[in-house]
Amino acid sequence: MIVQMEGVSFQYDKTPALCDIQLEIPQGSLTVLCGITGSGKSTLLRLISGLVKPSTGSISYGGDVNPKRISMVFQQPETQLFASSVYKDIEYGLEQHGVPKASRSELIQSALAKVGLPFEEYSERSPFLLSGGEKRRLCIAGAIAVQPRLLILDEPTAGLDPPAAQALLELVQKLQQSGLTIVTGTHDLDAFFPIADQAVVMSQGSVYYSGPIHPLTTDPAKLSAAGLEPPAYVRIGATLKEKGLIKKTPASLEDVLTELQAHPLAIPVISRNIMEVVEDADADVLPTEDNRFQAYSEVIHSKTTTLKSRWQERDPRVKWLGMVLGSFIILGMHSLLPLLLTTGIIAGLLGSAGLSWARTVWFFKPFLLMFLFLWILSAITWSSPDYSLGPIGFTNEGIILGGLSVLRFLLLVAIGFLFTETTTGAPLREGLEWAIAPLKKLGIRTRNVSLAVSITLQFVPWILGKLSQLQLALRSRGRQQNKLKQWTPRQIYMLLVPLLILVISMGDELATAIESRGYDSKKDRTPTYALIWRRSDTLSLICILLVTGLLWWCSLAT
Amino acid sequence: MIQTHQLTLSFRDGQRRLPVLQGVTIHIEQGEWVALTGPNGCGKSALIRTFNGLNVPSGGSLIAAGLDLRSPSHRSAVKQKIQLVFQNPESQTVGSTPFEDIAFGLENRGLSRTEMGERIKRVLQKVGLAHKAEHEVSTLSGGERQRLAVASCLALEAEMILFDEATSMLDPAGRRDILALAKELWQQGTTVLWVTQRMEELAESPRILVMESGKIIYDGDPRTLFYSSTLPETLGWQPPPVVRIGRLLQTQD
Repeated sequence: MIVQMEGVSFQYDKTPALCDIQLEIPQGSLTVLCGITGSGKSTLLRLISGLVKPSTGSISYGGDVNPKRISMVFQQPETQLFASSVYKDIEYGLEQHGVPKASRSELIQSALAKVGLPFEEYSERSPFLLSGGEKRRLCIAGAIAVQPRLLILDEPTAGLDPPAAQALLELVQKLQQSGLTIVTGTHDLDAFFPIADQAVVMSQGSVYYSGPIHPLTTDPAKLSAAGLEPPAYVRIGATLKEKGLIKKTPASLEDVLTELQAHPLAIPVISRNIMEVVEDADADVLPTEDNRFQAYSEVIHSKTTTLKSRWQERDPRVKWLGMVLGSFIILGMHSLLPLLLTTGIIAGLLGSAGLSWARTVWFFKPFLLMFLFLWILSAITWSSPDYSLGPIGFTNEGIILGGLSVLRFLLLVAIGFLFTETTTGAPLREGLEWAIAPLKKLGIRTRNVSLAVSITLQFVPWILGKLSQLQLALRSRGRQQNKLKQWTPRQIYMLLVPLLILVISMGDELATAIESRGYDSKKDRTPTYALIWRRSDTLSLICILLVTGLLWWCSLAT
Repeated sequence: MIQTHQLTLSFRDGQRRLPVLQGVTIHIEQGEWVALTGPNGCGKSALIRTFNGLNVPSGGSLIAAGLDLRSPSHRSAVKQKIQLVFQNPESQTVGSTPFEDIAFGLENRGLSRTEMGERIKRVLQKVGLAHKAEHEVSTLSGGERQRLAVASCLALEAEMILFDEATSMLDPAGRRDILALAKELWQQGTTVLWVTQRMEELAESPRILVMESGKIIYDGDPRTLFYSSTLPETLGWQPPPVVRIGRLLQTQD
């Protein structure tokens, strides 16, 4: 066995994602991991790869395998390509694995040749300008260049056009024949079942079936029970077998065709019947992930609704005012006491808005290490240090001033977080339009400004999500154990370029969608959201003025 | 619904002009279901974006929903009648809740607030998202987001919906879901142009357009395409299982 999992469980923020997984992956095999969206496929793949650690249970690797010798290719190529050329992109992984410079070129050439991207033609091209299929191949080339013992693929054929998907399938087969053990997560059972050695069917975070493919094709109900649609050749094969037109359960569409061809009798036009069979199977709608998702999101929703809705009901103008006033006052604070007081107040406000701890941590995480870096930077001095660490000196004054600046920034981020989490797009936009309405008289088109601001704020979580995907992919190449190493200037630069490309292409697509809906900043507009000022808003306003006044006084007095 | 004659389109790339559409002549009747396919980069998206006025044709003629799109005012008017559902579920929601998202397209149409509210409720009901009207869009699945995009089209009372590989980023359940919704709308009279790379979806369409290098190279029914032409092989397609079995039986017959 190359990988053996025993009693493995995994939780995301206390939500169980995987439960008591027992799994074995034999050397040299091709394992297909399937299950509906949300069944735990991707999490299991990440656990096998060693990128995340199980909450309980153990994963052991056989032979000369260890997490350093496992490569993983994620679903979206866009979030795992980093360098300015194909060559450099593959070279990064080799460098992280400690391959000396002299041997890199040869390994890169061989990896590109294996995935069918000729070295001369591709090595200097930008990874970001390749087609979808080529990007996918490059990701695989980067993964196999480090000569792994196990290759993990997450949805390798998703979104590819038919010739590209077919070519990728052939590539997977070729890699397996060369002795590589492969585990692939996929929805495309039609393509992968005929070439796989074993299947693992996931359902609701547990292994529902694990073993050879054959029992799944002879008894397709096993797949249906896990919410999956059996492959077309299985459905057609079952009907043909039932009608006595073929003898054995086919292992691929080719089997169906061969058996039919060998059939001695000419069969009257049956294609219509087959169409009906397929349609029948389609009509048998299985429980979809949407239903499950719905139940899950409703639980989450009802928990936070009461607390959050109290905040959401406030007139956006009060919230805008609170945010702007609060930000100015924080910027003017230069001593610890008022800053600590403000921290306490903001923490209380975050709690009162029902924002979960996990989400808050997730939001702040990308900022923390950057701020720590800034803090250290502002504490460093070259002359008369109070402390020294080798050649680097630090001053007390620098440490205090740097610390205060960092705290100020964090508080600003926290106010912004509180505001965007408790204000949906429409009120945010109407509140802003109201505030900048005077600019209209100066001939400035305020509609575009308010739309841009509300969309930007709304996409902050999206950007953070993409950033963590990129980080994970970068980590999978290098296997750094040290978390601080993720934030070296080089790593940050490597993350920023693909992130910027993602944001720009997202902006471009969004702009097209907005234009397509007939948006015109010159046309009259009737907002669906009406600004209504209630008594509670006046009360909130008074509270905001009192608290900010107090904090201001406090910051002046200390 | 759509009538083009020798339609051309080119994009500027520095000094050069890149031809994208090279003389497309097609006619799509009101109420038709037409599938459009072709390799990546052949001009499928460019063509359908021309139909709802997002791209300006360089030459030839284009009449969409009775409007001659050579005129700029018609290009903005056609967006009311012909709507697009894009490929990426993440990048077409403008509002932060389904209600707000549908409202975005309606706010420019001079409707009263009550009328907008009623219309939003009605279309959310239609696509099965009424219970999620106030949920955050980020908590919706890919399939639900695409249903929301369809609801936005319906709110604007679109006569024709162009689905630009709208199911390619979804899982099988989401794909079935959107295809079923599109079929339902088509049966109720909406004209549908379904762009796809999936062979089984082509095989189910009454009419197929195949594009290559900015030209339409096939316009006809699936039977002729899959059973009487060599085009699928020329394009490197693997026909769907139903067709492969059908072909075999045909030769035995």
